[in-house]
Amino acid sequence: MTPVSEKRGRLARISFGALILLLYVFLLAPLAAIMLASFTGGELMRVPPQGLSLRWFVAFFQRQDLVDALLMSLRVALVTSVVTSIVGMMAALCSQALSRRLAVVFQISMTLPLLVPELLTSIGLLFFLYQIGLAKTFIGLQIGHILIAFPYAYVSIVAALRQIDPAMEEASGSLGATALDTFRRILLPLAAPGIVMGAVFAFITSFDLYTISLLLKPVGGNTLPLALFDFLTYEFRPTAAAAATLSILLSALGVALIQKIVGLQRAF
Amino acid sequence: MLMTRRTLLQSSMAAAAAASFGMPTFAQGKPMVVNMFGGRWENDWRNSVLPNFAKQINRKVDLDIGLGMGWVSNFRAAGPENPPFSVVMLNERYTAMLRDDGYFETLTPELVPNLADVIAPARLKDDTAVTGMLAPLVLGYRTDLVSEKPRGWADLWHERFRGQLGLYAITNSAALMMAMWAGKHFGSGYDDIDTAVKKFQELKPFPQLGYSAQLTPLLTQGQIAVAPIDVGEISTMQSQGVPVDYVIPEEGMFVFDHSFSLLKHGADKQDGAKYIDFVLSPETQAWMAKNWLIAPTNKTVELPPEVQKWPLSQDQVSKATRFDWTAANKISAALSDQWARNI
Repeated sequence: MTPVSEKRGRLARISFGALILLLYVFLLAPLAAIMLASFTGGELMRVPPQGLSLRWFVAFFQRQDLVDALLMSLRVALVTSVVTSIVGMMAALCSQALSRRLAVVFQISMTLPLLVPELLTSIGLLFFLYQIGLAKTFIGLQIGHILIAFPYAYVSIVAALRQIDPAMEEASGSLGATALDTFRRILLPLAAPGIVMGAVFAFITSFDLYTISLLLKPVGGNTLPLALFDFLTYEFRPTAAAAATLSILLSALGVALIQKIVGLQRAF
Repeated sequence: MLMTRRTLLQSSMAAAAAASFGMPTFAQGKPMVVNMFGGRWENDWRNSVLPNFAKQINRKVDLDIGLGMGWVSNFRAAGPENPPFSVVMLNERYTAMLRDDGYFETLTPELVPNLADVIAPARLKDDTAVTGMLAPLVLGYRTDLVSEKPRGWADLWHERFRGQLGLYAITNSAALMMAMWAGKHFGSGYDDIDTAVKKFQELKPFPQLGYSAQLTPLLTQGQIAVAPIDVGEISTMQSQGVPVDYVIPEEGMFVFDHSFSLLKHGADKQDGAKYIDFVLSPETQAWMAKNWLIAPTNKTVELPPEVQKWPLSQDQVSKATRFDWTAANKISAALSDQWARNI
């Protein structure tokens, strides 16, 4: 390699590195800003913060409406992640069993909620829920969240199942294992990273949903994104930044959980 | 009995099914549902006001939290024959939508005795709604950042405030009121949206905020010096030591009308009417004036001394500029479109 091309190569690497760095800054700056703002000692949500304090976290936990909303969001997201994982696994297995052409149609239909705008899905679901008497109930809200979050779990599990060598299933069957045994001892452990990742994605997606919650939320209940929007609408204080910081930490905990249980490399 | 995973799963599913299908069993004891905005409105209403009403009707009362468009979507999805609640509070902009769809019962003093004491401007469209919460919209300004205070809405176009204004986004009913006022003041009428948009174009650039509470930080930090804003925010800023004051615009202040209506086919109509009566009662109206700087619409209410410096009196409220929201809703789509393209 000539000194000129070596110099060009180094320049290209530095430029690429700078670009990546800029990209990270662009992605992470809003998160860093809101987290910084949550530790302000002043009255206003601003960066840099005016002094350091945990007072807005205390204020958050003293607000019954926000704490109730946090608990409801956690509850809905937890049920969503469990249900989407189970149904996603069933759908992924079904997709494996179909012919290639049918599987394509099946996959598109399973991921439709990702293709249709959330608002339209919400309105359609709202009319449907009123027809069956489940509008403005917790079950109605839960159905909406499961519907929107389902494709994330499904896609993740399908990807995990595809990585499993079909010969392992055949070997299990030829050694006398029942279909259930093969599922429990072969498929489930090997697909576990995809299932966990899908569950975590479904949880985070559900935890963040706004539009569908706005239309489907039950009487007397609010999810955290809705409560935060209400809060910012009428008060606009750093308590909202504290709530955002808690949400970010919760998401980070989810990623740490994947790392701990299955390892990020296996999951992706 | 030993609880295995299988029995646990079975009993959980049975419990879930029972909970789902058993709901009608509790229908008789169902709580009454009323609605309110979120944030501090929710907290105050839930903790300080609703318990008195629940005691009055001897029944549990649930609070549905939300915003106008969310409630309107729900009522429209449910249809007029099957409304989700029997009584509803909405900004008059949204009330007009449901009124035009035929959802509401006519309110009478027999149903709502306190209606007889309500000021005339608060009785809306043949008593299909009554304003129970009336929030004045005034011109707020930073006393240290303007050389001469504004006198009226038209002063927003004065050279001395150029670059110092904060306004509402067109999604907020305050922006709609401002635009309709500008259409009438500078053009041919409330529906002259071409003139209105052209006039607001002259004020560019200015920050557009969704709600009053989002204008507050900008005023507090001095990023803007003049803004239309509701008096509650002025009071909050003053209590924090921000050098801010307000004027009642000489052309007349605007008001956010939060009106209450009874649903024609509501299941709880009787308690719904009692709720509207409770909201209009002198006690509740005085409480709202004192705690939220909401102008009482019940003329028997005497304003507490501590709020008399605010424009909440019957006389001031009666002089406020009011808008026909049925007509406003007809132009709002075109106005939003033009606003988005040009501003």
